[in-house]
Amino acid sequence: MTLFGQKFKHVLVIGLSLFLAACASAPQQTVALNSNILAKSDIKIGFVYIAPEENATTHIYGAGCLLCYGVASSLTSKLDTHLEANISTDELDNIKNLVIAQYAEKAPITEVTLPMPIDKLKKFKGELGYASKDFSVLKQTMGLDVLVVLQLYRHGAYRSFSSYVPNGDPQGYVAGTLFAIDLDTNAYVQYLEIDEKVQPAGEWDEPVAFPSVTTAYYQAIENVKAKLKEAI
Amino acid sequence: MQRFTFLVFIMVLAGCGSTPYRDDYTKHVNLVKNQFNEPSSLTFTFDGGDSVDLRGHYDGDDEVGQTAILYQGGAGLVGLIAQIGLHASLVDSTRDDKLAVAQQEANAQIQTLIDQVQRLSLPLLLDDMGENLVTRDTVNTQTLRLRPIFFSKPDMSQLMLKLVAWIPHPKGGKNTSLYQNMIEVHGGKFAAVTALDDNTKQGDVLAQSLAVMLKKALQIALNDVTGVYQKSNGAQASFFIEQNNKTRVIRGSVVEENCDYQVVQDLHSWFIAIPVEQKESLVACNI
Repeated sequence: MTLFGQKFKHVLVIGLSLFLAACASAPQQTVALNSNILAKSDIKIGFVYIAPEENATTHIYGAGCLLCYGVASSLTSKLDTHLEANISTDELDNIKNLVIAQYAEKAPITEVTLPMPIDKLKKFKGELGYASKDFSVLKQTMGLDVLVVLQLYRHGAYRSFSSYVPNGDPQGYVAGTLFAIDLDTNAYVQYLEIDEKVQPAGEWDEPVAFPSVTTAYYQAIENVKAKLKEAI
Repeated sequence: MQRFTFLVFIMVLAGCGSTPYRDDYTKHVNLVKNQFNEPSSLTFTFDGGDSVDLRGHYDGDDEVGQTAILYQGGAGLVGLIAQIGLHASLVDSTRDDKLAVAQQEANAQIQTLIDQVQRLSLPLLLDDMGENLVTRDTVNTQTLRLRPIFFSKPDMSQLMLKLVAWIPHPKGGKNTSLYQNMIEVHGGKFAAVTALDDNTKQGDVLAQSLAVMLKKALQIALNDVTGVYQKSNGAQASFFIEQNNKTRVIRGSVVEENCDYQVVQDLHSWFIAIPVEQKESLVACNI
């Protein structure tokens, strides 16, 4: 079979290569905080905090089939119940307050509410170092120069599996992103991935209180605070 | 039958996926009522012998990477379970090996200290607190068993003690312990022992540091068994210890505070003694 004079197989291979190349975009690397931008006089900085949608729970990775996931869930179900009932968002609020306090040492910062969710903003076609969404529209609508966003995706515990088999114990876990954007250029003023996992000390499977995993969670929180303090 | 097989399958995975055994760990059990009100009636013994066990402190992360295994689908349900069991035992073995290698590497870093402790003994460290120390031949139902394990930072500038203490249940059987708990004592910072110019000085500094921690841990264990520490109803908070250039979090509440140490009971009900130089003491010290 031919298509535009080429064998169909060749067209398919080229198409597939282009598709895969498009999917394999390079991930955003850490951008150290550019303090010079914050040092401008009369700069207006807004801060947005996006809390995790889920309560604290066990996040399972690597259980690659439906039955594997079911087995993995059943192995961590008691821990899920404990985390959901006992881990509040208080410590996440403390992380938020720390970010505000650290930025406030450099320039005045105000907590704001975005007029629309971030994923509803238009795409921005920039290179690495630029946000993938177009935040610059917020400069006019919100009267800001820099927008700082702390987004925490997941918290609780993390457990890695190879299909049905756990690779290790559930670990204390906090994941998210901190980024700041110059609304004039849509460039990152700061970009930091948060992916903190802490191994519990000793035995993890101690229902109903799971003291080792719970302590590991609080350790993960403190580690994140230490990293943010150092980064801002 | 299917349900039974699935149950067995889950149990196999739960068993294989459990944390590797560590001898510096125990669950808290306290079935003691009023039988040890008189501390003088309580004897104690070193269950593992009189030699000093000193190890390098290492990160206990035993998680291994993804292990890709292609299961043979034509082997039936029993075959599948056998394959998963084999996969689980491979992962388990890799986790054990990872911990063993980490311990060996940590020990190699503090070999100087390990050589020094060879000439020390636990009864020697107890000194005047050793009145009620008995040998393993003369233990009875009122004897507290002790297993102390000392740890050192890689740069040998700080020591820590984990003391596992227990009293076997007189009836034995399912109730294996009448009491068991772990006491962790952190030593103050001292100049690296290797910086001292001769072996005798090194040994003296080391013995003194180990003795302070062992005595403190024993005192805490005796306080716990004899009911000095009531169950704390205080609000839980995070406490911090500097360990291997990282801040370690302890979640719990304070049960004792004095000029030397703050004793915190954590979520495991373990007791952790933090030297006052590592935190702001709430107690005014008359020095």
